[in-house]
Amino acid sequence: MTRLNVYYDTRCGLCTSMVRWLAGQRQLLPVLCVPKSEGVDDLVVTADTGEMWRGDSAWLMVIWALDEFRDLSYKLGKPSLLPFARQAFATLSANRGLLSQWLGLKADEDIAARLRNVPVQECAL
Amino acid sequence: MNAFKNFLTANRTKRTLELNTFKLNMFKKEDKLMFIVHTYLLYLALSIAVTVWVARTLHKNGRTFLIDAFHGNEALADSVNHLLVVGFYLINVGWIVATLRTYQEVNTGRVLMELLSDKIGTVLIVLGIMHFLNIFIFSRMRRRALDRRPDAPPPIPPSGYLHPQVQPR
Repeated sequence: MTRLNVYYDTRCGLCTSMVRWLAGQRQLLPVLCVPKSEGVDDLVVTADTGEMWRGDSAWLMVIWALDEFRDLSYKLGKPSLLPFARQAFATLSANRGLLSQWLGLKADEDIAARLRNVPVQECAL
Repeated sequence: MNAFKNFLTANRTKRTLELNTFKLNMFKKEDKLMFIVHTYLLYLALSIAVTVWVARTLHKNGRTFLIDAFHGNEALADSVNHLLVVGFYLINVGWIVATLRTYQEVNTGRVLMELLSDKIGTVLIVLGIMHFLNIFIFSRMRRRALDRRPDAPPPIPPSGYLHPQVQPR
């Protein structure tokens, strides 16, 4: 396994801020964040070896890729803490729209929509 | 003790009773001082000898842990090992020397032995705690390094596979 692909929801402000935060963290293996297609509702992580993780497993994989949180990811992956981790992620995921609103986090889609409305002068060459 | 040897029946003419209790002269003053000096010297010698022994053990056997923790970088492992040993000596010898003083009157061999055993026992227990703390630190550093190898396993099995897996028939 040499790289991970993370498929995130571009309409969610929380996901967009997380992606931006990920880019600044020290990664133990390269993580590529890709906007996901419409049909899928979960967070999806794939590896170049063909494995795929969905939902809370995907979230554990994302923090596993970071140097600072790798120990935490192993701890949360153990049977004693896994139900708690699943619950935490499920709660965050279900309320991500609301959380984005409260925290004022802008989603990729919102920013793209605003940029489309910016008048751009024709290039006169 | 000479208190009751003969004065109860002697000196009837004087009709006094001389009690000799406070004329105990078992040791001269200089000898009394020597007991405490001996105690201090023995305490220092034994405690520092044990500290040196434990430090050398940690230095020799902790090196393997550290080399593993630093992915085979021997120079770095040796450097960190040396720094840890210096810290170990500072804390332990400092503590030994700082707790040298006693207010106990040491006049007999018995008191000397008991005081020595108290003080050295405490030193050994503290050394033991430091020793296990060191081992804990070494093994945590090694665990962190092992978890960050390129071939470290993921924390959770995958939910599925992208490519169709070959099914054994």
